Amino acid sequence: MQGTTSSPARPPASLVVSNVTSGYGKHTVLERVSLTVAPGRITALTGVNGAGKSTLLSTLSGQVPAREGAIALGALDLNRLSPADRVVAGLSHCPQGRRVLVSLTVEENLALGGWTRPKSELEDRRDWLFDVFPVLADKRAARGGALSGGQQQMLAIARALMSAPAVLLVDEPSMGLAPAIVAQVYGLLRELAELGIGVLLVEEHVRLIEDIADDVLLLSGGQIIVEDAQAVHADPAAAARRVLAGAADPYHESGGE
Amino acid sequence: MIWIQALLDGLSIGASYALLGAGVAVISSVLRFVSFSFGGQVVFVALVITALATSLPLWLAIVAGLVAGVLLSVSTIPIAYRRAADMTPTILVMISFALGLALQAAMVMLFSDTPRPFPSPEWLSGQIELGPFRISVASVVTIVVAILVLGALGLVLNQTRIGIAIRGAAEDPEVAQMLGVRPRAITIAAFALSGLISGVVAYLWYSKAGSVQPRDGLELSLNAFIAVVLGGLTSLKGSVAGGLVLGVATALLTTLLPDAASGFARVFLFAFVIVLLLVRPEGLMGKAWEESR
Repeated sequence: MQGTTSSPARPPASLVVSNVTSGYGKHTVLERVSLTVAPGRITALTGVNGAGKSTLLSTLSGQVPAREGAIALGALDLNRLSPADRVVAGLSHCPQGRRVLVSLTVEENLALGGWTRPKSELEDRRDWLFDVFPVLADKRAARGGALSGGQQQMLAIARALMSAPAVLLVDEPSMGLAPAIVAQVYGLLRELAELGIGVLLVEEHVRLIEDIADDVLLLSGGQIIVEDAQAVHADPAAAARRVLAGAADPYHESGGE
Repeated sequence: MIWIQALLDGLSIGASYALLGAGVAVISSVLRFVSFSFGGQVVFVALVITALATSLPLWLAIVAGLVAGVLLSVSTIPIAYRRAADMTPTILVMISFALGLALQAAMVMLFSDTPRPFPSPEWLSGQIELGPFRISVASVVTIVVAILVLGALGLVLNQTRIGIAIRGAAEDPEVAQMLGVRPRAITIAAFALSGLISGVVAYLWYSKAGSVQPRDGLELSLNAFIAVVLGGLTSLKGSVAGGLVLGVATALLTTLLPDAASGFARVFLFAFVIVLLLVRPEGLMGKAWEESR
């Protein structure tokens, strides 16, 4: 990965989530969840498998409707916008499992990522991403399905960045990747934060976020139970250990899941 | 030698079927259902061309027919498919079937169900001699136009932003939405392309058939359905190949079966389709339906 040369960002904006309740059908997964993703910061969201981390991201990006509460990006009320309009507004969701379009080439995946932007911008942004991920430049004409897991993860993040988001939601980018690749991907997230992008990173493995997160949130029982940004900032490792200790509890209480 | 002649005839029938298949598959690749109103739409365009050609120059009637095809196809979205994303493929197929029947009834009321001669220029009915073989000018035009239209469709799907979005949404509609693609835009684009193809098929098919009547729709839909099933339900390339195979097989069977059996060509054809699907349930180029959903 090379240094970031140009910034394709839009004006920084905070994502402010207040008392959001959501779920599937009659099943409530999230209850009155509040959090803030500030520009230029990496906010890590952790919790055991099934805690509702991915549901929270899907609620923010509009795949799952919020039943109550407010989701605001800057001065915009996202709750009233369709998933597509939330991308236009500056929120981008890089989903769990990468979800690279395997029948499209790397370039076509990126082009689709820039769907909401004017055509004239796309080439510059794509070239910037090819600088950041030289391996994608080498594979630009290859189908998404022909990439390795790590390459697919890079493509998924690059694709999410094509819409020039103010806030990037990234769901478990470390899943299935070798540690060296994980370090590379997380290094990129840090670079993005330095460009002023707010990053909400979902990561089940707390040890992976010790070094990178500015804020650490723990989602448990559908609620955020640890939110101590200042303490985390002063000593991220110690906060991560506290979160880890907290994360272990519900896991034992419910006997798994 | 007779089979080479049959192959020539089959290529032109196959080219029509390939277009039929493409017209249906451009929708099924995105919405995961095979439309049974497509044949009715083809007939509608043919009837529009027939009616307009009495007072307009033929080329203008054809252009108007293409426009009518696009408008009719797109107008079925608010009428029948507004909530398509929430419906199962089975329900969508039933809706399209009902839509086809309603369209047929409307056309019978508007145009009566007596066959009408289809307007085509004199030169189209000529024959070209190729040594011992002969092929009609209409067949050559059908093959050439089909290649051009399918090539243009390929360009749209591979080179334009909306085409890439259609392919992306066909593979994973949820991800396309996460990237900012409105499902509605994709639906409209797919139905518009399908409508345009229905117009092209209408002209090619009926300039060879000679006459058109409102009840032809189901037969056309059935041929399109077989082409798409052969190709794998949601694969555009597969549906084109399926149509080609269907046309060539029809011509070969009709020619090569003994006289007593040639009337049953379609029986043998359907038997062949059944055997093929037993061996390859996913069709020629498709993924299994469930897997692709």
